[in-house]
Amino acid sequence: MQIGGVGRIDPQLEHGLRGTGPAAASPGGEPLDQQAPDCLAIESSPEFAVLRSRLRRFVFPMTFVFLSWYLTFVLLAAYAHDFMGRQVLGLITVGMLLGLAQFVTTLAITFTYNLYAKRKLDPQVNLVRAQAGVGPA
Amino acid sequence: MNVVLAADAIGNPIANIAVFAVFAVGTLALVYRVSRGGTSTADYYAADSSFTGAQNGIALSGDFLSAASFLGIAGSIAVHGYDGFVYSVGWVVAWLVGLLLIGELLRNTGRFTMGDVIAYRMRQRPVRAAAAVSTLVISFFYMLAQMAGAGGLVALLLNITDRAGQSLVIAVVGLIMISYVLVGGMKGTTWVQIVKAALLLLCVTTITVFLLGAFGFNFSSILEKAVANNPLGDAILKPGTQYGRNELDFVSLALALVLGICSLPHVLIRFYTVPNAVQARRSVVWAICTMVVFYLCTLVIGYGASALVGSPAILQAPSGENSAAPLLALAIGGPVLLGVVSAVAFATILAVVAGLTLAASASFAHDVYANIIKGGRTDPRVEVRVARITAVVVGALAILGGILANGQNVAFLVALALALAASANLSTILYALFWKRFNTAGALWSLYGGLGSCLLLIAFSPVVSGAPTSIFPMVDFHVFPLNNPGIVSIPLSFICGFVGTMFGRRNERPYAQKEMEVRSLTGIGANLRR
Repeated sequence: MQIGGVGRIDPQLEHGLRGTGPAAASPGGEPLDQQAPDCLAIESSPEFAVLRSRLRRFVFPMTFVFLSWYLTFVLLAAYAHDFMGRQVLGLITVGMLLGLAQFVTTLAITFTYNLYAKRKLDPQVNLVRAQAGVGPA
Repeated sequence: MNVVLAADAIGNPIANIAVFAVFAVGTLALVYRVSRGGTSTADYYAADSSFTGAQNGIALSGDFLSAASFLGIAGSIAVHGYDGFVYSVGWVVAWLVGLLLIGELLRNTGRFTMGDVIAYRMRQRPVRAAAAVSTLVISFFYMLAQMAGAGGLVALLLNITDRAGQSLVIAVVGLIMISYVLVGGMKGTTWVQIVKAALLLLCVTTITVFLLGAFGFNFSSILEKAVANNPLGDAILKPGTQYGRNELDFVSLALALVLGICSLPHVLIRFYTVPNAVQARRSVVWAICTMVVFYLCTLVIGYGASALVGSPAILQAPSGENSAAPLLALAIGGPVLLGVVSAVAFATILAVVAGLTLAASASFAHDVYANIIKGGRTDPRVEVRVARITAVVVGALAILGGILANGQNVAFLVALALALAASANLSTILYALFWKRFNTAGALWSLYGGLGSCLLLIAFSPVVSGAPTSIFPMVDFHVFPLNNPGIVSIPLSFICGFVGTMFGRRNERPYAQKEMEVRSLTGIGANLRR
């Protein structure tokens, strides 16, 4: 399926977005995209919908998870001094282990997302781009 | 281990200056080499988007391994113990905001500034003006913090105690920084960050490994010695020593930290230095790994300084808490290691301020001059010239501000800049990227609402008046009880953005909205590099 086409020019875009929009000229003056793809068609394509929902389905819940986990840690540090001060490994306290656990979960989320993006997002991006007649990023 | 403390400075000031001079000359030469006198806007603002994810990731972490976080957090852990560590956790977790929500989409959508993204589907002039105001205000506060910190550092490392001498050094630091920006633009600034971050990481890991080795790789025995050498005793192992009296304030600070870091203007423009979204993602992954290593080391270094140097000796040194890491370096590596640590600390201030100056000048030249004044029709060479002039002006202001703010509480200034960034920028960027209906009115409300409420709350907080540590301790007009306004102003800016949008026009520019959505997710239309 080929959904690329000649771009429509939004009159406001023409005025305001010189320098940022796809119709923008490079410093040399020649257009950057020889043929501006039709964003309306891309936006309503099922492939794009898949990409958008894959991204949002991952990042929104994950943001909720890491923010609540971080806030739990902060609230414990702010209000539960004795619990955080309990010594578990020699002099190492619960608070230190929870802090280190924040580091561990941050790394875990980072690499999970990295993997997810490589497997589920990047190929979909390239699919949408190919259908729009634009090469891979 | 015995620590020999010089009467008023640490180590040999001449050696410290020498190492610093070598670094300054070396990096200037590097900056000169990498910049080929490029006159294009893409080169000056975004280094032609030619960095790899790994390079930009190291540079990103370099933006955050500032003197405040390196010397400040190590010192805070050495003196107050656990509370300093809790603070450092926020610096790491915050990167997930950049990874999941901002980095890739921002890279695809914008070219040079935050304004590019926020104003993409809005009315250009008002929104770009608001974005520029926010960028300039936040950069200024953050820069002030860095420059004010330079004064204290100078006192510590170069044994310059009179204000005139310190002012002179701040001015020299500022001039070197301006020349980085003028000569190298984004490319030069990024390389300075990379060199600095690599040196800093090398330093802290060396110190950490040595420390752990000295204690038989048993962290618990470092803690044991730290407890013995700290008058607070085993209170340093649990929360409450530093932020104990005002719990809500601490929560507010933590919130500003985790939401503010990836909304800082000089971090946002870093994402434009890589060619595409995949590299933007890779840079955050690199930055997160680097930060985790760094703050793990800082934890060891902080408690290690308490163990080997002792917190009373640290507090007696010229710049108090901030001297923990340098004193520890002296204790374990002698004057050479101290010289290196000092030079790196200096370099850190230099590089971070250079990045901020670049962000501020890009915002003024690109958003205000090129898009508001000239309506988007400028000669790129003129635009770059405007950016360079702005950089000189901003740099001069930073020098002046740094001299005036010398001696102010650096941690407060940093926290303030973060609260401002989290309040004004984060809500607006997220709405612009993810909410279809968001419009010009909403953007203006959330930017000005967040910025204004944050500034107002600070003005009426104990930071400004009514407490012994205030800027004006003599008068008392504080009505807001918290030092950090984040917990109020961040949610408020989200509400403002929502309400403003509801009052504003529906379907303002439907095509631009769709186009932005496609571009942000796929990068179609974002290919600057042919």
